Amino acid sequence: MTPPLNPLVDEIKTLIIDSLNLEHVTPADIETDAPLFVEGLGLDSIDALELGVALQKRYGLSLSADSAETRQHFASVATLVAFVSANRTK
Amino acid sequence: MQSSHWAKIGEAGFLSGMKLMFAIYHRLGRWPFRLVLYPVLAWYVLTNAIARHASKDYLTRLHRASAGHTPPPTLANIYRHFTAFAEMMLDKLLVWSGDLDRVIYAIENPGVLRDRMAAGQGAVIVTAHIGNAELCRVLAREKSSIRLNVLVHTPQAQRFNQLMRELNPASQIDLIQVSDISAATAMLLAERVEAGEFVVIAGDRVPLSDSNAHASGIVEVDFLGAAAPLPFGPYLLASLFKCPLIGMIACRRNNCFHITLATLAERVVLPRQNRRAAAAEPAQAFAAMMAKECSTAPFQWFNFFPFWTR
Repeated sequence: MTPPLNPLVDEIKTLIIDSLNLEHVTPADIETDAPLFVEGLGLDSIDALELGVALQKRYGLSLSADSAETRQHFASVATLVAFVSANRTK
Repeated sequence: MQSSHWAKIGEAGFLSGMKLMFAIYHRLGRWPFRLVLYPVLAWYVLTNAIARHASKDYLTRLHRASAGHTPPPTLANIYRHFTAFAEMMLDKLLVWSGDLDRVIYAIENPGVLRDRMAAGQGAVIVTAHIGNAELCRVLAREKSSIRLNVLVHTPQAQRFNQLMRELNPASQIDLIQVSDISAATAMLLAERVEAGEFVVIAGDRVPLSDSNAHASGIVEVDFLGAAAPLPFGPYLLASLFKCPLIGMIACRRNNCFHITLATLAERVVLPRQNRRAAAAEPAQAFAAMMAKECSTAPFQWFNFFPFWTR
């Protein structure tokens, strides 16, 4: 039995692909629990800024200046889903 | 123990020092100020070889690039260059005091900002240490609804904000301290630009170290005939916020301040594969804007450090 899929998972995968213009990557290629940065999808620190701004625009999110917290939220699609569900304002 | 003690003294000293300078200037005027400033300046020119050589290097390159139309790099002209710097410091006090009625200024291409504001569209404004960038404050006065978010490297940003509010409670300017642009800062600023605010960032000083190669890093341009590094930050921000990039230089020409505005790019697009290479075009447009201002007002260039790559 697989748990019911949260629609945010696919939504955020699509947002990552669109905001970073990742050609040849489909939502199915991104593992929900795999690291997004350095390993896994191999994103860099400027990608993090692009992704942050895209998340802000779509969901009205903000982050505290604490970089450890940012790293935690941006670790994987799964952590982003949790962060967005808990903090979205739109 | 010792260091935190000194830090506390520094904090108290900063505000009271600025207030004292302001009080002297306000009550006694410009001349008592000059009496103090000019000897300090002479001492500075004599003892600070790096700054002196930087001035000479700049005047030499400008003289060559302008085919001899700007002042040659003589010792007298180097001193005039530093005198202009001291006068700019005095102008800063005038601007800080909010006493802008006494400032005579002209705005070149005011439509660049006016049209954006009418459309409720924010932008990134890239500026330089040419003349007195703080004069952008007159824009805040002229257009009372303009909101400027000024990015600065100094940790004193909060104290400056406090001081400015005390001197001028109507201040519409927020100084934001950034050593490196974080996702949190980018998100905050994106929200403000979307709301029609402006982000002001210096385009002529590269970050201290390139090792934390985040948003920091450099874009190399041609400036006055030789390669020079400019910071990558302004172009990255304009691309992140998908907003226009505006160049602004506020510079003294004789007794009038000129605020020059220009749209450097409607959109800055930095493809993921070669972002820095793509930033070269808008960066070069800004370098050209700086070079033009330098040839018009040769002594207003206030970057007294080795600026060029070689």
